[in-house]
Amino acid sequence: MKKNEIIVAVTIIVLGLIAPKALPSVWITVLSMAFYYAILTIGWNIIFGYTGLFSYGHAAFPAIGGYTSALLAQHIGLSPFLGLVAGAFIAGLLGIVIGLLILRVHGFYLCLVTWAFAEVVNVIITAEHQITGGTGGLLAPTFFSGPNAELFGYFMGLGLMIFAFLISILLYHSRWGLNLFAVRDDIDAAESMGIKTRFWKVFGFAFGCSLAGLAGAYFAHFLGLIDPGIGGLDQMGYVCLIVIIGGLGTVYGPILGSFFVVITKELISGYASGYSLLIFSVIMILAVRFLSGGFMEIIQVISPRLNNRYLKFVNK
Amino acid sequence: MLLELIIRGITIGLVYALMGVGLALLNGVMRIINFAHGEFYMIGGYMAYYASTMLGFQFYFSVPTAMIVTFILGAVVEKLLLSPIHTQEMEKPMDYALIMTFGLLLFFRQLAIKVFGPYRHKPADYITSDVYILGVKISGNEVLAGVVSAILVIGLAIFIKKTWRGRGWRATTQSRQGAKINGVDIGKESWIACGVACALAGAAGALVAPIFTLSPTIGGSPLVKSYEVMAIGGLGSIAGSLVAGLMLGVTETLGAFYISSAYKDAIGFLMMGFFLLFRPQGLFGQK
Repeated sequence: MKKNEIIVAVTIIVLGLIAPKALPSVWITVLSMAFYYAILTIGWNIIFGYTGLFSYGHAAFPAIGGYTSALLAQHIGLSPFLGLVAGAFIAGLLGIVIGLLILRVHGFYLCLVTWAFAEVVNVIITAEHQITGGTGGLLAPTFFSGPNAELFGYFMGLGLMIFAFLISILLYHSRWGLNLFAVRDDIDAAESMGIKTRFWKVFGFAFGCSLAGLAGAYFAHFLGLIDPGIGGLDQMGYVCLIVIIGGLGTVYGPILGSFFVVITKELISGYASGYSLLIFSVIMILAVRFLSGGFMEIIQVISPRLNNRYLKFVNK
Repeated sequence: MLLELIIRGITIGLVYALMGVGLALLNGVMRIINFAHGEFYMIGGYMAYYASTMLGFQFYFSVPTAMIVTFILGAVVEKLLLSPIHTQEMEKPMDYALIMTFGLLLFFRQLAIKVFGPYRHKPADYITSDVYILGVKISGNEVLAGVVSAILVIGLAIFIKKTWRGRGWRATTQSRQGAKINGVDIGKESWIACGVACALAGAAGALVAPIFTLSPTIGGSPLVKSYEVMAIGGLGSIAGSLVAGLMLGVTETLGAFYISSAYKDAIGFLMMGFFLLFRPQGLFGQK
């Protein structure tokens, strides 16, 4: 872990602890949704940004994690905290199965198979309404009860997001992460260097899926309700554009993107409600066309200059 | 009943084939996948609706209008957003195209909600009378959709087989480098092929608009179907697309009736998954 990353993590924690005091109470829910998206997109960033597998079915995994946790709580009375683990575990397990299936396909077909999986999951959730509650959704117990339940749920989300963030940083700098990058950049070269590419593909995919399952379980228990919309195409759109706007394959990208998107959405909802996805899709198209690195590219271009100016200032 | 289901399956299957053929063409010439294909279908449907309600066109004018509009739109999209694929050196053009066209999908869908409104529209029937085929009563719209789709697919096949431009497209499909050396202007052929592919999608949308009503989100289902057609039929094969479209249409209609209509869309997905995993080259593709 580098110095910068520790500074950023600490800053996020401090800001996150201050925010509920400083902001009106409606922002607690908004920021919790930002945490949810951050965990979810960190998962997708590991799958696509690190490992190079374009998974189009990522939105299915929070649905799986959330429904697993909610159903377990409903039927055997599992506590929501263990539900997080169970959701992440089941999503990771399914991630391993899908990851093994998609070893046979490349590029665009990979996209199709994962998408097919997501659609089938969605169809099953909607059709089996005796178990899942269908389009009406399924009630899930919240983490805490009492007057401050939402605030504690918010801190829970902050903790989970920091956890996911630290994991992605550790992965980024470790040998495991290097294996994933090698698979992404040149699979033949990686193979010839003795990297077990099949294993690392499945690992990267299942790892990201398990984070998504965690996010889904958090979503279900934070709001107390989960419905099939969580696995819809719009959600996949948000995942994709958050990572692209933030910066694909970078550590900070997903967090930056999800805070930007969620907060902007809340800010403009008063003036132009319903236009948010339109505006974000335009930003995403422009970003892909002209600025493929997203926000992180801007920061990387600007920061050496800022650094130089700072050094000049200090020396004089 | 069985006969009626099969005839209905064939008509809808021909429309699926029309969608799939456009995608296969785009994949051949540009080596990319268009996620926004279904949105051109939606736009085509709306164009036909406005052409028939506001301008009072009959179907033989409104369907070509929709095709022209979607052709221009597709060509503009290619020129503005997708052309870096062949003008710049790009490491992963496929990933670029996937993300870009996914952005376009979101954009067109949201734009349609704002411009056309979220409620459903239904254009007037193209052909009001019913048609009897082998003693089965089928609505004229469905017959028209099937027949025109078949004509367009076969027309495209003849175009690609016989004309110089089609020959250029086939050459580009086989080898980009070789086609370039022999004087095929990749940039020009790309936007024309993209326009044609989008126009075919627009035609499909315009043809089925009176059968299924119009709404901004109708693009999702045909997009999925066209991928299924392409995966089952094999990439870039027109005959494969035609057979796969018919197969998909018939299986789906029968499955929806005999198994459960809730699992109608899952049937196609399972078929596609089966083909991708066990016969990745599709029905007619070469390895």
